[in-house]
Amino acid sequence: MSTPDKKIDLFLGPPLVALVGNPNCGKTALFNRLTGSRQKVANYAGVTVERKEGRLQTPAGKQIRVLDLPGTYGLTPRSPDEQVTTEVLHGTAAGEKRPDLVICVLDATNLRRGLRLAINIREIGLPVVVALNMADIAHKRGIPIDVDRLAALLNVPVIATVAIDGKGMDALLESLDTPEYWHHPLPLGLSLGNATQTNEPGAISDQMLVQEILDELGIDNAYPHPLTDRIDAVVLHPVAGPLLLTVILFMIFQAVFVGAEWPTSMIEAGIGGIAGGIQQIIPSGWLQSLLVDGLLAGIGGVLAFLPQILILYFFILILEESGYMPRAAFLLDRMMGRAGLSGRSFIPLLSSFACAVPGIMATRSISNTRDRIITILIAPLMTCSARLPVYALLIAAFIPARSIMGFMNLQGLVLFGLYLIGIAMAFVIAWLLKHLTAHRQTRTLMMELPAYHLPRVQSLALGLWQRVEIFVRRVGTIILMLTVALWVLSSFPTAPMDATEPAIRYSLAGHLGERLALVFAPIGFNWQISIALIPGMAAREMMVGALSTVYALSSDTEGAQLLVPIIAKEWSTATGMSLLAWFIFAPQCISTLAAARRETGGWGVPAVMLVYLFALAYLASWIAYQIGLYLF
Amino acid sequence: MTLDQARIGQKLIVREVLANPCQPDWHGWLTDIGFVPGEPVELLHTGVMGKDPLLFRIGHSKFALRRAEAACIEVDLYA
Repeated sequence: MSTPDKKIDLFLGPPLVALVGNPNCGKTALFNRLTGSRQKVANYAGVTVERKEGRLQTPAGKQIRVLDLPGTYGLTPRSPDEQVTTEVLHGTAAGEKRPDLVICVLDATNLRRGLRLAINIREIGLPVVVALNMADIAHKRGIPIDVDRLAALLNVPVIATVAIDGKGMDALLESLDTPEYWHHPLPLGLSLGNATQTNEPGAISDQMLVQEILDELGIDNAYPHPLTDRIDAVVLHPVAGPLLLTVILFMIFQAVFVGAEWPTSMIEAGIGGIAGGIQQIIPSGWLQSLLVDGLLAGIGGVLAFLPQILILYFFILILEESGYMPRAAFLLDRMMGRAGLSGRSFIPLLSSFACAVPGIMATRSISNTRDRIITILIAPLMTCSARLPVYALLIAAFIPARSIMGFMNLQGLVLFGLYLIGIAMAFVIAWLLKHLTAHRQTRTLMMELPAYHLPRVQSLALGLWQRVEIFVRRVGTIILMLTVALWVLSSFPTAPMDATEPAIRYSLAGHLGERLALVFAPIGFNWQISIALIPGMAAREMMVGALSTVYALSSDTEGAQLLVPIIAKEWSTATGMSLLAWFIFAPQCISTLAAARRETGGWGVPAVMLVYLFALAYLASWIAYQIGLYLF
Repeated sequence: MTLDQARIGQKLIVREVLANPCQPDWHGWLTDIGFVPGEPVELLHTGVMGKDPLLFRIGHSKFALRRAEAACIEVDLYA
């Protein structure tokens, strides 16, 4: 065999079918129908676009790999997502073979736009089977659907489907058993034919072809969606719209923080129970400590977030599936625009209130690279739920539970204020970055507001399951590894036999803490705080447990309660204020830095993030400390 | 006229997507999302006080554009 000129990737295994379609055409629902649970979610090589692959078996027993390509409006890519679709279809994507057949999913209620994409895919020479999806809705809205006529005009098989309830799936699967469908498409069955394309620029002639098909099918130009229009009249109303958005956001917040309380405490109690069991079975020593303070603390740290993340994702999925999310982005576009961001940054920032890691992962939908990086950089300023235990401890110790104006509680107000400062700082930073990266870039919006849909239980469940799996796998492994690493740091070298101080003081972390105390003295941190900051790097809430350890208490919930009077007595109010200010910026969460590295593909962004948050935290703590010293 | 000058409810027809020398990508993108000659278009909503963003019905879909983007689209009144 002769050596080929260029490197050829050899792909063995079953034939590959790619699903392609406009966004919101029901492509993912179709994919879920075709492959069921036999799918895996990963990333494309080199980019952070999600790659969804599944397997199916045709009625004749043929095994087929199915790829769910990101939705696209055309083959002129606008975002990393669309870039992937274009590259895969052209066969130029790294590590991915060119599909053997494309199932082009068309929204029967919006045939015009879908047809252009179908014609483009035909033109690049790929075998096409058209799935005419949402056929039921089109029928209901009086849009004529003539499947046979469309098939004759496009000269490719066309199958009417209703992906959400599975209609047409059998016919679609059977079509994959027809060998001639896997051949290159024949010329279009149109009078204009393919000949006109030589005279006209591509897009214009495509448009003429689309118009001819629509005329042949007897489809008029405008089919309004009266229900969506009526809902939009309220949702996008200049006064009612923002009000409704505020109410929705408030309710999600309530649900995330109140609804998760009980399951979270159950999980923590469960972990505590296991820890207690281990302490009884295994004699105290390094093994018990590794299991309880290292492994279990790490697993607990991940699991304790699950209820909040589940609830948050549940609401985000509902907002996404129903079609409300782009409306929220529409309403917020102007406000975000002032800070140099687009409305699309809203979803990642909302997610960051639970945890910055899923927030950073959600920035993938932002097409503008600069916007995306700025969103990643400010995501940690949204107060994540991991900081709540620290806030709770400090507020309980230093802020009196006084009522203000009869109905507000000073402690609650301070907590709310800490959230607000974070949000305000995020806008200031974004605004500054807009002016620093000065070359007056115009950001494109061009965002579709799809018709409203009632979310489906199955797709909600599947979406929830996939996101949780990703979170647990990615974050779980990082946090687990870090907690074990930090356990080693805080446990070795062990304390001498005649130790008078808590064991952690003699460990590497203890020595490090003493050095750090010199750095942190100007902002009022003592050596106990400085040591506790080190385990706090893995997950911020571990700071509370670490403080308990430093003050020679047990590191469980009772320990945290005993801690309140101790720190209230030992620390000055100025130190308390300084530490509160520190945690608004809290630059020490390694999972966030790791997520930022993953999503940006380099250490640049996480390095900038660490440095600027550290500088801001130090500055804010210094100011808070000085004000504290002056006032108290 | 260009699309950014549209009034709410006015029935318009796309005549041409203009090439914007500063934003060479826009022509292809606007065409891809459905702004092609002969397509009916209507302004549905604007941001507060008529500011950005603008929501259009184009063909069978709704798209939000910024004023600068809408300014690249030449339209005629629907006769």
